[in-house]
Amino acid sequence: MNVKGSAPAPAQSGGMTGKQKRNAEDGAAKQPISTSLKDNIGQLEKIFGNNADLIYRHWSYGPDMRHAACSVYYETLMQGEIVNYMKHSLQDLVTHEVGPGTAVLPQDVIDFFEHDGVSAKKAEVLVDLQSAVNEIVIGNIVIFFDGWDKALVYQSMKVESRQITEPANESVVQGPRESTVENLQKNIGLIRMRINTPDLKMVSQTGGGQSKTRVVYGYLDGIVDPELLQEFESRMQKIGDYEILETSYVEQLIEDSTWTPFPQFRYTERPDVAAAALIDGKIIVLVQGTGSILICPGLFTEFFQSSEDYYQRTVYSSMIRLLRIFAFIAALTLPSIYIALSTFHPELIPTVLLLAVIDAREGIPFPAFFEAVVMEVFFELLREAGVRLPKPIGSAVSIVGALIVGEASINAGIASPIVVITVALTGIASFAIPQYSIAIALRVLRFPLMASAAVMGGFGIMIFCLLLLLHLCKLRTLGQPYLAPVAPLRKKKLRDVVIRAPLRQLLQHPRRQGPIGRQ
Amino acid sequence: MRQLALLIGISALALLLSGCWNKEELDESGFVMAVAIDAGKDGRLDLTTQMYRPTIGRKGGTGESPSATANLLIKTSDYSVFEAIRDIPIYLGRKAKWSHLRIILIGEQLAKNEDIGKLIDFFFRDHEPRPSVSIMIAKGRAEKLLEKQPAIEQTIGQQLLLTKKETHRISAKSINTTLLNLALQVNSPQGDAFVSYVYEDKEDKKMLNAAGIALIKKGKMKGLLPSKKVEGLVILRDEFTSGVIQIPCQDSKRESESFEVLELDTNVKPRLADGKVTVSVLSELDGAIGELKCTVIKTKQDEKEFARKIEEQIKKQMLDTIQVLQSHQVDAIGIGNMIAGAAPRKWKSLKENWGEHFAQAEFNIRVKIKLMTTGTTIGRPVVSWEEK
Repeated sequence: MNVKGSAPAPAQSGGMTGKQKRNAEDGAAKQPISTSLKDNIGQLEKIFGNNADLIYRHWSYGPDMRHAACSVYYETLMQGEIVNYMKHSLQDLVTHEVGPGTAVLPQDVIDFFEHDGVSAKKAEVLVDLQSAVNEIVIGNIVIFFDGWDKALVYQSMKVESRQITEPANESVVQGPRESTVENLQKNIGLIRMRINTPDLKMVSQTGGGQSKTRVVYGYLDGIVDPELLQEFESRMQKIGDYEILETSYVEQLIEDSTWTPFPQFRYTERPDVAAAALIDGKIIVLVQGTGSILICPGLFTEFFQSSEDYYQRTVYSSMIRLLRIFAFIAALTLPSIYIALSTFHPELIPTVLLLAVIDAREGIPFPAFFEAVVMEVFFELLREAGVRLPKPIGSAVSIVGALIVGEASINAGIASPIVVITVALTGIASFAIPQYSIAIALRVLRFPLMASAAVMGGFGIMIFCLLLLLHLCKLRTLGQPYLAPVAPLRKKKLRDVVIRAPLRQLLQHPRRQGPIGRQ
Repeated sequence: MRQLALLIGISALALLLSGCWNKEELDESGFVMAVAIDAGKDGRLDLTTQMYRPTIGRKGGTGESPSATANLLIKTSDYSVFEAIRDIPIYLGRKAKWSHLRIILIGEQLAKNEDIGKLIDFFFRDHEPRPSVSIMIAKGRAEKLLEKQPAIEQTIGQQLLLTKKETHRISAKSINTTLLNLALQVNSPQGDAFVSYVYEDKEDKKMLNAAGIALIKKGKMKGLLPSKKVEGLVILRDEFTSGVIQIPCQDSKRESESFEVLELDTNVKPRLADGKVTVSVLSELDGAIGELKCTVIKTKQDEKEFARKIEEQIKKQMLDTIQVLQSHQVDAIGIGNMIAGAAPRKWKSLKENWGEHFAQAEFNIRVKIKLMTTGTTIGRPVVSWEEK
């Protein structure tokens, strides 16, 4: 991406205060590059100030080495790059270095580059100082020639980046094992590789603020719903001034409802999932510097899908899908059901089971609600602790901690075995849900549900679930109803909700109407 | 609009002020497993409640057998059942919870003198006990039975309930009576009822026997149908699920062969003619031979002969039962109900003296047997010294 002309963005340099920067920007904006090399360098030094890694490399060329030029670049952004761009610029004009190379005059340079001569490495021509500053900051190298009121810029940004490895969080038994890395070009490449059509549009947008990170969103023209796209684009416009450090920033800035535990967009770190989403009419967002891909909009029913569903056959996938839905319900309501049944509705428990539960609960000093809350909180603590610890120790500590503390509290008579079992089952059930963002929604919702069960028993659970349902019905994601296709009911789209319909049916259905579909 | 939603939300929070009306921890109430009602002094009722006592030391698996301490008996006494129940916390320290009540035992003395309905009215009205609670009449004092150790179940209440249910289902020597079907029986047009009977075993005082049926007329216990005769009643009521018919050998009275009934359907049709009731009974059953001792079946003729013997035996059993019922004038079969349903006007004239009409009724019984299998292909006792 080369920006010709100045971009309306504040200058970014270390060492100046905000106000000073803005004043400098106003002065530097639209200021043309002067023909004098010294003036240009002087201006740059004023803007950039004291930077250890900003290099001003002066060259001399031409007959008697009379003519001067200067390359300006951040050496930290050009790691491992050994190509001499200055040399490249001259090499285009002469057949070999020695000899007639010394005969290059500034006028030759000017003529060649202003008329876009053919060269091995393509250079852009800049007219004003502000765009030169922008280019330097991105990591490109800008070359000023004495006597020319324009400058050359070469794409030279290269920073060490992670290799493409197996996905950390979304591994599958069968299917591609590539995951996205932090480099935006590589990520886009991985996706484009899978969708070979000119309809795949990747639109770029620069973030604002101090980071000016590059944000790219992509969609399949013709399949995506035009209204959806319009809504999305208008929201993206509004966040132009904020620093975007990660895709989750984008999510949090454009989401419909902030104060809900339910996520409205999906994440993935697998390009094949992103490609599938694109084919489904969704819009994906990628950000330079991170590997998470945001998929908008994210409907509630889609959070139970995992890529493995589509790489396995129908019968097995449907069964696993049902299992996940059951896991969702269990993870949300299991502790509450225990509290409600044991305190409000013991007549619902079969007698022989009741006698076992009574045996377990006798002698426990705390009421059932307190016990359940304490064990749940403890489990959450363990989980958090397990995340912070380094990988080899982390999982061991979680398991050992849970086991030992559970056992010890049962033996001490502080907790009953039933509560420990319930809490363990709840934890396991919440791990069965593929999307992490909705599993954490459950963790948040479990506690108020327990509270309402403790206060009003089964009635309380019902009330809370009704309120939850109301909330979900009202929730919108990018303007689409969150519970589609269940509510509003679109029978044709129900193929992928509870069971996973055979692939023949899933692929046939015309997707041109987008995820909601106006048939 | 938003303010309205906020208002509704906050006023919904006021629900929390109601104070958790029903909330009781499991260890704050005593769960009643069985209750026994007996006649006490001065016309009082002696109520014995058996609670489940949880064993705390279950964590490591203690040496104590759970049933030793699992049963807890509370004895209270008062003029009405409800008042006696409210006396329970005086001894126990916890409120009694009736939702898992398994069985109600009524002492024989009390059953003979008092209307049963008056005793158990509480259990119908209170919201906790279920209509599927079993009711039994105990020989002697009911509380003595609750003091026994359960043979295999955790509590004596559970033990009694299962004994009764399984006896009905498997050997047809008792009939499962619950509060619901007792209420249905007593409220039916003819008003006679029956309740299962339970007593101590004669030899082994520790075991309980749940065979036999107490016959109830006008709410009071009038007579007893001994266990051998109950089979006939079960067949007549078409409630036979499984059981064995014994066929005594002709030569020696002590030897009997047995026949297992797999399926039995009975059709009872009463007919009213000149004020006299005649009932035709048709029983069709499928069965298998259980044991052969003195019969030899070699030909089809032999088979038919054997089948006929069984038919005779069953008929005899039914007639024996009917005789006992008629002597007590208790219509446990439900013929009065059938007449009331089919011919209500005629029933009105019979209603007053139904007991006598029933005692004079004539029964025509026909039994049809289909011998399904003999077990093996040998038509005589398989291992036998006798001549072939």
